[in-house]
Amino acid sequence: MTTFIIRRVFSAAITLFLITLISFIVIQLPPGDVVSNWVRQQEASTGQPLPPETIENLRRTYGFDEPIIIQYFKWIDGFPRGDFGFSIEYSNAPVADILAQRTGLTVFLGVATLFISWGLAIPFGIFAATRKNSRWDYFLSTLSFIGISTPDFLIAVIYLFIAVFVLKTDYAGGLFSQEFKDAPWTWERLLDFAKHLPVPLAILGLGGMAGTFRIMRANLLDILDQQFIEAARAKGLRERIVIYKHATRIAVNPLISRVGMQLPLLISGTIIISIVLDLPTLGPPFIRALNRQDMFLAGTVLMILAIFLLIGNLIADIVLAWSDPRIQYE
Amino acid sequence: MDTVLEVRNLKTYFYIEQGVIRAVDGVSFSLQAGKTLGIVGESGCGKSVTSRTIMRLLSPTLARIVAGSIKYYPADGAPVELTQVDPSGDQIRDIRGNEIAMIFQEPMTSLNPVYTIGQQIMEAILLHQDVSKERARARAIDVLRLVGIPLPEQRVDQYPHEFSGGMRQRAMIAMALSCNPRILIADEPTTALDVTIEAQILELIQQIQHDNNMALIMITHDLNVIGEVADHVIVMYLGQVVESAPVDDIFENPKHPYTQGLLNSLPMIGRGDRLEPIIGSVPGPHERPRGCSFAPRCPHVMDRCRAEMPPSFVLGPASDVACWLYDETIEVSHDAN
Ligand SMILES: Nc1ncnc2c1ncn2[C@@H]1O[C@H](COP(=O)(O)OP(=O)(O)OP(=O)(O)O)[C@@H](O)[C@H]1O
Ligand code: SF4
Ligand SMILES: [Mg+2]
Repeated sequence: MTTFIIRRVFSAAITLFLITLISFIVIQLPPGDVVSNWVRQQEASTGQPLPPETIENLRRTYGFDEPIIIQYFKWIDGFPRGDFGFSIEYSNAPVADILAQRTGLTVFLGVATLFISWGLAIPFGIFAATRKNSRWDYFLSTLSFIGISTPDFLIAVIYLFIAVFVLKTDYAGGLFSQEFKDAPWTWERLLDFAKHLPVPLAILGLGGMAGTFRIMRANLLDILDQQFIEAARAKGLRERIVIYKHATRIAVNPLISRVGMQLPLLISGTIIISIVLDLPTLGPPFIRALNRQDMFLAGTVLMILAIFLLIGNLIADIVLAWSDPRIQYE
Repeated sequence: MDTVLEVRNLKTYFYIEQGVIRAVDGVSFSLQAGKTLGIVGESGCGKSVTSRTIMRLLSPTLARIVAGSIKYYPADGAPVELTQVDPSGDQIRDIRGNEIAMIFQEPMTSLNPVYTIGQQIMEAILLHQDVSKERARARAIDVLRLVGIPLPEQRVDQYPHEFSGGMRQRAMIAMALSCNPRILIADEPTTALDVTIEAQILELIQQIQHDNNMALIMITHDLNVIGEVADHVIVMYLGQVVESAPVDDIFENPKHPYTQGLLNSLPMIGRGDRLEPIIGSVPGPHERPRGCSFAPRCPHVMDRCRAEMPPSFVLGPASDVACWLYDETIEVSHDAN
């Protein structure tokens, strides 16, 4: 088991290196760079063209005149010191400062969302599968079908509408009130955070539920058809035990292996919801950085997403190996 | 003799979108302690549905018992009418696994892959017997040893995927035997195994049956297996019993043309080259003929056969046959309840 984990971490590190390298290059592939974007913006706001020497100077100070590969190594050279470059888009602020809090909140929201959507989708999936072809099953399946075929942002808008106008919460977007937005963590801020949390959590959680529900239902129906389920009943076991101990136990395994894929999806897939709800996650700066070829910022976000993916997969593999004895640590 | 199970005119129908499937359509037999009833017939004739009906394993939303009775005679106490019990109630669950146990055709899929063999055997023991975990584990090891699994103390903690097919079927048998059932229903227990393993498993089942005076229902489509283990045989065709007779009569003096056909299609040493498969094939569940269900394939078919369904004719103390060829004999009234 330990060698299995060590090997996985090692290969994860190599993957990570390749991901950052490729993403760094890909971001700069299109014509133009962050400086020319910035220059265009400046010129538009002042109405004056910037002198070419200034632009050249800018390029040189930022090191953009060097080959991409050198830029890349200069960039990763700062990682051990916690230096992930700076963002021109965010007035030259260090990337680390921009992303630190957002990363924490993103992970928190992602994990909380996962628990909520699983906590609801699994019981509903069991409920529907054990009542296959009943009215309840049709109802839930139809609902989930609508759920997966509706775009995320629309769901977010609809839920937001329900939360504000039907349930009359005073939620106005975001995770913090204005005065706490950039404040350090205090009791008051935590309280404010907790007050803001329910609506976005419900929206994110319900949004991811439909797919999980469908997978759970289908898995369980598959398992319930298997011979060992009938054999378990033939032993005289209670139906409840047959369903939970013998069937559900196996039906959740594919969900576990999906978490690995889902964790980064939860984060990147909620970009649009984050924009709609004004959530301080990694999503909004990522979109902005990609648009402006702000490659240190975009590259760092991509790297963080890649780390999530790798960690998610690693956790999923470990849990799965523990949950399904047929899987060997080879 | 000690009758433990009595099935009379059992009918189990499936109600599906496309219509009604009369999977079991009038099955009768009785089973005695220590004896083996063989149920034989081609695929789809209702053998498994019969056994699942006895165990009440079929979902009531899918399959309905439309007629007949299944009487189980416990060692002490009043007989239980199994057609009347709640299929998810306590009464049937006390019988399942405890008094009537079952082993299935597919040893590869009859065990839950995520629990050890020991956990699965102990589960049955702890469910039906008031013993500690340690005792249950000791018993699990005992039954594994009994069914011939080497090193049972180690094997008990292994998972099904660490067992071969034959070993899994042994483990299934061990699980079925763990509570000393009075009846064992074996639904094609050796079909998925190769011939040498098949012989070993059959021998094992018979030996255990002998030691425990257990009644056995051996379901198979293989007459060789029947010849090996059965005392009495019922031959099924399209959900009905077409012939019921002691095993020797079935082999030496088969009465029903279908039984004769089954025997003729059986490769047997010393019978030379007269291997004749039955012509035609089993009709689908919706195209059941009006008269005798075997008429389309029967070499002796008469006009009457196509018009009227033959009742059961009693030919001897333990023999009946549902075929118009035997009309001279006394006709037994066809149970209508
Ligand atoms: N779940 C079900 N839904 C609908 N029809 C079914 C179902 N199970 C069995 N049947 C039908 O009942 C009939 C008898 O099936 P059964 O499984 O008892 O056959 P069998 O004699 O055991 O055959 P085999 O030798 O292939 O196991 C078949 O026509 C089959 O189509
Ligand atoms: S009743 Fe007629 S068709 Fe049916 S088996 Fe007998 S002879 Fe053949
Ligand atoms: Mg069968």
